[in-house]
Amino acid sequence: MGSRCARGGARPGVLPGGDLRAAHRADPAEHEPGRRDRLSRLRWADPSPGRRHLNEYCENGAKHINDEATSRRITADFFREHSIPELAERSDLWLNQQGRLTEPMVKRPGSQHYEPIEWDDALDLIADELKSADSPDEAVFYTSGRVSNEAAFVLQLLARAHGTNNLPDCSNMCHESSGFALHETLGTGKGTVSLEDLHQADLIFLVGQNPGSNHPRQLAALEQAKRNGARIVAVNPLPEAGLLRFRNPQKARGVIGRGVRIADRFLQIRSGGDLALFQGLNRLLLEAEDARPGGVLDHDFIRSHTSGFEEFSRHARSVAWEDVLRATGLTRAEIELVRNDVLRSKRVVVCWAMGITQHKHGVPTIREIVNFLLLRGNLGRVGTGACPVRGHSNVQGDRTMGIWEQMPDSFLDALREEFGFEPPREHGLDSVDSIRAMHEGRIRVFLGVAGNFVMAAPDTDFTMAAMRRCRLTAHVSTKLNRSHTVCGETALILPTLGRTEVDVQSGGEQFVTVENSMSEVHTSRGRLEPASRRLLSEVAILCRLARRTVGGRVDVPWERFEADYGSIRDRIAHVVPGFQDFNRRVARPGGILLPNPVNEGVFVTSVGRALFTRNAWEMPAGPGGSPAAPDASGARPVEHRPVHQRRPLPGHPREPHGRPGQSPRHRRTRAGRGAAGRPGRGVGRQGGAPRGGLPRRPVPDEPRLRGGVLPRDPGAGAAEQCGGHQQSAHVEVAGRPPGTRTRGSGRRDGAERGGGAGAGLTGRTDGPGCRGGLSGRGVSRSDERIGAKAMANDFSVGDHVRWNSEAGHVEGVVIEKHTRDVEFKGRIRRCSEDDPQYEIRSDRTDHTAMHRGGALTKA
Amino acid sequence: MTTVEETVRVAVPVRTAYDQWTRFGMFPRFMPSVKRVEQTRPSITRWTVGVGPLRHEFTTEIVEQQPDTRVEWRSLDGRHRGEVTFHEVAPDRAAVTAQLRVLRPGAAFLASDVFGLVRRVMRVELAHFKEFVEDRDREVEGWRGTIRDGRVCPVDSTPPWSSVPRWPVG
Repeated sequence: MGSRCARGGARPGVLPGGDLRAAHRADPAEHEPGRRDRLSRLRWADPSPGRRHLNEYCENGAKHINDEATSRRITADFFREHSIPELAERSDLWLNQQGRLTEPMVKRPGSQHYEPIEWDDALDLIADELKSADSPDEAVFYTSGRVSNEAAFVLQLLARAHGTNNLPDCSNMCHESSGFALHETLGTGKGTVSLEDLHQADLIFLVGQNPGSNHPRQLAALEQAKRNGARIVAVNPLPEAGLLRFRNPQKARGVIGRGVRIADRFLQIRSGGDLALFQGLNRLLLEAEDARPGGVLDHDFIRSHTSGFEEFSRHARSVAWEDVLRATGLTRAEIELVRNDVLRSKRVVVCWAMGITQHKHGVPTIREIVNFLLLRGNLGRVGTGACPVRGHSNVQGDRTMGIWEQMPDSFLDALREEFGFEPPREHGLDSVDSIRAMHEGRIRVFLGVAGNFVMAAPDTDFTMAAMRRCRLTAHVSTKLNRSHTVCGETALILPTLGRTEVDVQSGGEQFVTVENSMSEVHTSRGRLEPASRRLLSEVAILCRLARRTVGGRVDVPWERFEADYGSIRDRIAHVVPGFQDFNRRVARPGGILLPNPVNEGVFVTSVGRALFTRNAWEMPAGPGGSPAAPDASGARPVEHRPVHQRRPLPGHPREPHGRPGQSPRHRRTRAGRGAAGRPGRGVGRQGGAPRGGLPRRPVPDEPRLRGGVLPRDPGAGAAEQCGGHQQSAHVEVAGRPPGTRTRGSGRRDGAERGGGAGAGLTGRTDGPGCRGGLSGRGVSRSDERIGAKAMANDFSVGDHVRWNSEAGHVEGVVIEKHTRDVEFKGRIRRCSEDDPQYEIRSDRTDHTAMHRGGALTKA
Repeated sequence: MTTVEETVRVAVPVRTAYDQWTRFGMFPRFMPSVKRVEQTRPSITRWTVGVGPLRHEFTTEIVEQQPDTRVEWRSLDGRHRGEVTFHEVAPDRAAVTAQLRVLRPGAAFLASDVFGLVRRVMRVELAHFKEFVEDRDREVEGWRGTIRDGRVCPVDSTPPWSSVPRWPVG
């Protein structure tokens, strides 16, 4: 968010290319403060016109600084000492703690050990493998969102010059649904909001988001907004501590006062009920307009800038309250109070994160949010807009640079003009399809640039098996992680510079550029001495690999690119729209602000206007098609039944973005987990981290998208509806048979986004960042062996137990076991025989609380 | 609330006066008290103004803009609102009236004879504008779109600024 945010969210000189969650990185090495004695030399990397506070970063970043302030180094001796099977047994925390990788390593076929290899030989190995493949499509090039614009541009150039669009990235697993929904309805793939808009808003929705842990810079913006008189509505299954009260440590009043109450209204929604909530709200707004014609909706805007209002309106009025209440778990009165907030507000911003995007029906939900914004003209004005909040430092920039398996022809044409080769047009593999192809033995070479792919991917076991089927796996990394222990026949570790380290090439000291959530492109420059002399920068590694792989075939000056990153930026300026004069403009303080067409009054959709959409949905159905009771147990296997009602309206031809003939796919594989039939209450679901808590396992029973969030699901869905307003929702109706190994998709968010810090803590990328909103209250349940775990979590009245409260660990005694819904402290707790809750009394204070078994341990 | 209003007559067509005025980025070239202007959206500009060693930064939202007629703005910190109106006096003469309403003056503002100062500065700067716009031999091209209630309505359906990557970002 914003340049100030970007830097605000970052540590001095450490996380220069920040985003809202700048300090969260998938790759722990991103947080590379170096040794303690270097900390004094850190400087803010990027001068910014805005104010920012010293030490404004998130808790995961802070933990990570601590974790990373190490001088430990991994050398060849380390790998001689530890075999790969042994490393595989180690915890992620341990792997991460071993320090920085310092030299290239190879695992030869049949060997159990990594051994040193020269850079030239290592790169030759990859190049030979790439060149000897039957088809260029037998390689995949994975990117994590921390990769700089320059490295990303070189990587996509390498892949396309090699002849493939197989460019899976971490975006496939986080905000893909935002990109598709916004692109379809508003004609922009990015958020429309800047920090100033947050400051100026009258009403801000935070949906499926935990800014306290994950977007700390946003908290400061929210605090400012509140001081300007804004109201904030938080929508989440769990009340997050940071949402409810924010004590800004940068301000005296924050330290000594009680803090600012951030959320004025908290809607404890059932997981996955957001679509229904916004439909309910939209219906209420339409009815308010009926009661007060001309006083509620922005008719001028609807008439002149939108399309499809009538169809939407008819559909929205047909939404049944009963369904809305059942899906949201809220009361009508609660939703009406929010409507009243909306009616009082002239400027509304809706922010969302993984709690929305990773649901199976993420795209329809975001489209419904757009409907909600359109109704009262809350787009394209100051203080209004749609704000998907991203995490990785450059997750937005990598896409801008062309890291996408289905780049539009306009981009590929520009690439052809600039470099004189014909890039492949056939869409490549996204993350899930890559894993599938690897598993089927169709991929020979996997190259991962940054990140921790096996932990970031939706299904770790499946992904591991897939990785092992490759002939060659190679990772460009700064630190050891789980992915390095999952090897193809041959495996390479290519150690690279951290973004915090000085990058000197033959053309002098280099800097890179990144783009944040607010579309500000700015520089990022390292300050620290590199961890080893043998490290190469990501750009250097990719350029040298490219020279070896496609050197004779395409006319790209790879040597020059490596020597002077400015020469890459010159080429970016020619290829990517909006980047003209890139080198000069980005060097200015504040960098470049890429304009958002919506704020220019332009909607570049299929019809040249913003689109109202109809998002039908179906209640989760139980076996036999009967609606699952809202309090049905998560263990109940529920049918996964996607709903298709795609019928373009007359006059709006379909415009598939997808591959010709591609049909929307519903990835049942590993996707159909989570129980829509389960109550959302108490189930964390956003990319939030427990405040101050240890990493928690994901709650298994979330109706979240797993494989299904991946690009072409929403993509194909979006494509089908583009131009038409007939919508359908992919309602995830799936249950998890008891005992199934399940991983909440939230982990991917964290793995890729917050997981950097998470990995720092735990060594696993499923660290706190990804623990979808499992709050500090400790609703943690193992995602494995649910059945066994449930047994272990079974307590009786009188048991003496321990649990984690906001105030720390508390001990007490079980005073009652609830197996039926019960009202407790003013709200209904969902309990069942399969999923009981325990009323517990603290030994110390006589305070009572209610928790699920997973949150308790025997004291 | 205090209102300061000044008018200047310029010997150019009203369209020229309007077009030149709405090239906000050029203000520092002829108004010594305007140090820097940055337009981030058609409706949003960031201003750095100052007299002597004093500097003041603020961001404004243009709430109304009608080509050759008027530009009305509010500062986002809520301290002032302003309006500039353009009238055709003769085919090649126009009157430009600037009006500033200070809503929430700061302490320093009140301590000094600020309104006197503001009035003086405005008069001088309008004279600078007159000099600049009358001397220019080249026609400037202004932005001809409109803004109504803060909403931008471009003339062109694909303004140059909208040429940015629009493909979905994950």
